[in-house]
Amino acid sequence: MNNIKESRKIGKIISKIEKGEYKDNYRRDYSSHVIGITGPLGVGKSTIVYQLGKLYAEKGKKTGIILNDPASESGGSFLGDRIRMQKLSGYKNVFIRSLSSKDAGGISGITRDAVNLLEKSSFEKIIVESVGAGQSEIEIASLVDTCIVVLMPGMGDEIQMLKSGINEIADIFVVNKSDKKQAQRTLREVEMLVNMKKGDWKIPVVLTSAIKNKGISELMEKIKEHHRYFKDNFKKIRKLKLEKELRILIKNEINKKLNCFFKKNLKNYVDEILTNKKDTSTVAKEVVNDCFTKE
Amino acid sequence: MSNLKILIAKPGLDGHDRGAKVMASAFRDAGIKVIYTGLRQTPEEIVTAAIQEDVDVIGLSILSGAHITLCKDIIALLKKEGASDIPVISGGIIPDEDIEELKKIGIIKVFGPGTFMKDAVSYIKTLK
Repeated sequence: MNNIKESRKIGKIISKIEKGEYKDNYRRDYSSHVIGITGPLGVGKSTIVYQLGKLYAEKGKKTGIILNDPASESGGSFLGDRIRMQKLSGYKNVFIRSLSSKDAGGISGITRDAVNLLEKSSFEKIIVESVGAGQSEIEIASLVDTCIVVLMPGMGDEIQMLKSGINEIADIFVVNKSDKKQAQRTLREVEMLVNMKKGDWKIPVVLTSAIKNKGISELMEKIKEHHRYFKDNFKKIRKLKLEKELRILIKNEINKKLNCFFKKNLKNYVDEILTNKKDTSTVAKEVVNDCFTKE
Repeated sequence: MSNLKILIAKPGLDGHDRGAKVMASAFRDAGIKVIYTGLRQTPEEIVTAAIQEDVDVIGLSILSGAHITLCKDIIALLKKEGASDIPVISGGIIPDEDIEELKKIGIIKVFGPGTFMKDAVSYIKTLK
């Protein structure tokens, strides 16, 4: 474990990020390739992260892995993604960190800062795994260079896929659990979906069985191809990403302020409603108008 | 809300993780962050995970009878890596007569059979 000192340092800084006590004005120089893995619960995201991480580590690449797990109502959390990749702890060039999603600034804010920190610490590959459901998926997608959406057979028909909105963030689709019966059918459905999309990057669909380490090197090849495309079209893509990122960060900042505001004032407004017989939606509009005209 | 974070790990050859999972859930419900690394961990894996995740305490669950050896190895490795400031507690099937020796090795607290979850939780909370 020759990188243990660095691990300790990075580990401590990420704790500060989680507490909102760390500020750095680092701007990404894109020396790292940031790969996002997202998709519904139980499709095999963690196992894919493990297999990819292992391949990169064996190629001698300094690899950082950021895992996002949901926080429970108690404020505590059960971060179990590490189980699937604990064998990676044996590699000296791999750093793994779990983040839980109830910390200051929203999960996307923390993930962004952690990614920046890893790039600054010259990690070549940074893999970010998202929670598995909800808005944070789309947020995290805008923070990564290559976004992989993982699906599996038997998750519902193609309409379901069109509906989910998740297809808008994919640079690469993976159909995992290829040993399942309907794998070919799901593959065709996703391919059809992809073929309907316009744009100069043709989204590849890769069939894998992560647990059996099948299709992973093909996936890695596609990731490489996308990275090349990303670099070739850097200006255009970066502009889009920055727009999305800024949008998210502004929302996070507003949310932070909003939570403070709620803590301080919400009770008073409720009292006001109770005494003055104003209705809730009128009060809400008044409050918001007040805030925005002041600024 | 506490920012306390614990690593729950099962070192060595031991296939029983019910106890560890029950404790992990109790900690989570008490607002503690739990990093759960699962079965059959080597001391190296446990120490690496504890450092990367920057945990406040390591909880080892051992039912195999090899607690003295495993705890010794893990404490030694933490020391070697300059991380002996991370406290280590243990639980599982540990005979009373071994508790003294485990404490000598550097395990700060042992939770044997019959431990109440609330006691373990309130103990953990005193660590930060």
